[in-house]
Amino acid sequence: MSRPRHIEPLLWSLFGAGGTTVGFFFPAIILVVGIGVPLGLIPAEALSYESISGFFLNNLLGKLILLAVLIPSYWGCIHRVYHGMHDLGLHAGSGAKMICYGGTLVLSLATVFMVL
Amino acid sequence: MSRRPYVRPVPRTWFMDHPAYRFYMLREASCVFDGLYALNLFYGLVQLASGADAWQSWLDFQANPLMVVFAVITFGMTLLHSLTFIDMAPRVMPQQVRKMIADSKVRFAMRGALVAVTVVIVAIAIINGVTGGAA
Repeated sequence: MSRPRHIEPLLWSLFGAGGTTVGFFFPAIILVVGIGVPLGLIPAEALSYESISGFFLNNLLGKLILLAVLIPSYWGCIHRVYHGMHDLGLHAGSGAKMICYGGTLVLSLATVFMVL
Repeated sequence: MSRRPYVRPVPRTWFMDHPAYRFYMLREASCVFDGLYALNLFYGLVQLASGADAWQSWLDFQANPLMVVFAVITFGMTLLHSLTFIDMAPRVMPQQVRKMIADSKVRFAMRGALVAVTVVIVAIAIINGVTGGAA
């Protein structure tokens, strides 16, 4: 008996990767971008256009770091949102699944396109 | 399997009945905040690619008081996610690995890594800010 291939293991591994990237990198990102610089605790030059675009758009290491942190985070979050809908009694069908994961795929491709 | 399986009705507020369920839902709610924050970061990337003026407008958006409140809440929810993620990490590791390393050591190492990553990123930002974007 041949078993059908499922996409769930792939989605689950992206969810695991996303849990890691959100868990380890988002606290620092939010501390700098969301709290430190806006409140003046960190000098604004920390996020100057020259240094941020120089590292994340024009440096191969920076591009890879950005992609490695952002893309799994999208997938981890949407996976949890999708399964969280079930917890709230919203038994979304395959259409909602397509919108959630399809949208995340588009967002991921757009992210890759942005740093190219 | 029965063709008309009985599905017991579950009220939507089922998780309010027990502290453990409430904590579970609070933890799961962190994904909504982090997902929105990831979208915010993507928006920042789009603005960064658009040029210096667009990037500055995104930075101004981050300084909007509502965005700061959102960032503070998201920071708290993210820490909740990080720490509970580390707590359960040994249970989802390969069992051969789990037999070799004590759970407490794995958690200790992961908490150390979280602190180290956070300190390094914040330190780079501060150094970059103080030196006027030279770092």
